[in-house]
Amino acid sequence: MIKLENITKTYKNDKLSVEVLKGISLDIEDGEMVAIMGPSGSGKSTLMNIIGCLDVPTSGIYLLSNQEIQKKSSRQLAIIRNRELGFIFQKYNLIPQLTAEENVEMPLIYRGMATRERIKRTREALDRVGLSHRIKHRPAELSGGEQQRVAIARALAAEPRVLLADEPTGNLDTKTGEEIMAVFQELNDQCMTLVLVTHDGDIAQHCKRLIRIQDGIIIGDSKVESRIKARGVLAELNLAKAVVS
Amino acid sequence: MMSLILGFKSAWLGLMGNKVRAFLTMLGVIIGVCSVITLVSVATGARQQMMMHMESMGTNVIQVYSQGWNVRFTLDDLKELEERVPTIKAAIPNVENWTYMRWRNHGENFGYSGTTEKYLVVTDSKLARGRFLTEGDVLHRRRVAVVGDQVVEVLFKGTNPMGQNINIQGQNFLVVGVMERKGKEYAIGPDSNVFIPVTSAMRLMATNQIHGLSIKANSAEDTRVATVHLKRIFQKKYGHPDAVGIHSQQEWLQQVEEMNRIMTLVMGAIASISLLVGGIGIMNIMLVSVTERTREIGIKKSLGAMNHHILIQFLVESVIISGVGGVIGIILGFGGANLVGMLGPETAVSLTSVIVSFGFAVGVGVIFGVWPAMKAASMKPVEALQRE
Repeated sequence: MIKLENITKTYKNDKLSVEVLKGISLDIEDGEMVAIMGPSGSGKSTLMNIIGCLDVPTSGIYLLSNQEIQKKSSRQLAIIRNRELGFIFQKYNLIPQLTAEENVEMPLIYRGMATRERIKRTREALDRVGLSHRIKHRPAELSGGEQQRVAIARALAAEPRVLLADEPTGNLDTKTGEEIMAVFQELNDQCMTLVLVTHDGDIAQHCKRLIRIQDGIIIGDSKVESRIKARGVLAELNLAKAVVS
Repeated sequence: MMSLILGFKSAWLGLMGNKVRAFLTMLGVIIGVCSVITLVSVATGARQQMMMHMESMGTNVIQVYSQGWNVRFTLDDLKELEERVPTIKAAIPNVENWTYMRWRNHGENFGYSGTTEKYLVVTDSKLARGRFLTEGDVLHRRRVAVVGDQVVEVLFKGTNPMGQNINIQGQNFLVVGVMERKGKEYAIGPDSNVFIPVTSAMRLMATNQIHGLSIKANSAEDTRVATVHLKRIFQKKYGHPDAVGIHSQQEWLQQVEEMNRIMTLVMGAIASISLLVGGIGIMNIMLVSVTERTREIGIKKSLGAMNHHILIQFLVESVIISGVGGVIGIILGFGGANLVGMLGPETAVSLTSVIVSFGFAVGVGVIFGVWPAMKAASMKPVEALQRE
């Protein structure tokens, strides 16, 4: 699914040259739930941007679904971001002027999807994160947790092959963060591949695999022992649904 | 298609988020379009005024006038010309004056023309009532008058003037006919005129000289032939090509058109400068808008927006500014033209000026919007996302 071979990234300006990634090799398979952990400045966000095709590596080979990403044009990268990748950011990154529904349908509009199909998918995605009752609300009218769930719905609507989340709980309190993790775990149970960047060990413990990164190199890659099963509102919600049906 | 709607929506939301700024940016375009329309309306109005005046003189008419060299025309000259030049239908003298006239105890200033029975033919005028001047009137220097429509209204207060006496410089003239109304509201011109036999007019003015003639040719083609012919006759007679001025109506029209074209161009150019300045204002604000929304651009790119999606959004935004500004400018331009029209000069909004100025405004929006929009579209997603 995701295959990185000796990826480096160097930022240069007139005087300074900083090597942020110093040779990262990594394989992520379908259905994994990976946490990339490291202190700030370790290069984890840069790695995430490269995986997300938002940035290009200085050297190395990146294969996403067997496509060589470094050989793609910016137009092709836009298509890959639109169809294969779903992003979730620390600051939600919703467009404040648009309603939840309008935010979610955006990637589908870029894809040129017909209106009826688009609305159906949008509603489904919002339903999956338990926000069917909030579709006409704007981000400012939603709580932080709800905003992040809209962002997740936006990523889901595109039906990507992998969800990339950069500090998804960083702006949320522990309880809300737990809810978001519950959503992620449920998605992973439905076979969605997830890559999370975090500096919070507790959050990392919700994943299946933990990659530690420091100073631009991987210093640890292990299966998560004693994985925490998050119990969020959504899980309870779905549980309630299950009971009713 | 959907991406255009999305671009339109994003642009609209962007504008609505900054209403005051959007309006101020529009102001440049509004003033530009408004001034183009208003200024050109003055030129167009002047042209229409001229055209109406031209028409009142009749078609295929050649004006002949003395340019010094002691050139004076006589009634015998007229007869001679009519006989010698076959392309001429009729010729009349132009003896005109402006004076105080009285009817009973009403008095007003009007123009009077000394003319002959051929006036109606030469100027394509029609009589509304009574009769026009006759050959006999001219021959016997009768004190009869035919009055214009405005004279009836203003001097006679609408009463039937037929059989009434109109007093011109102490002489009573019997009104024998009323002219059909010609123009709109003429302060000067045939509607505010009194027509009397040329012989009577020359006596009133204590002169035996005629300074100008109006000569009607048989057709438009004959007008050209007659003009050349007349020039030759007068040059021979007075020994100088400039002794007599000869201008056909077509020549006048060409001159009027040319003058008007220059006037329109100059006014249009002046007004276009403000449109250009408006365009620079748009570019300036669009650059600010792009910078402010860098993060939004980053988000959209992360969701798979291609460069053209972003480009369209910002281009649409600048075109909305210029287009809406253009529409407001057109509305104000109509108002401005009416206002100027009330203050003095005759104005007429020309459709061309409306279309051209609106097109120009939208064009300005596109041209000055392209660079900021391209700047936005070419941003790298990761850099745009990191911007606060």
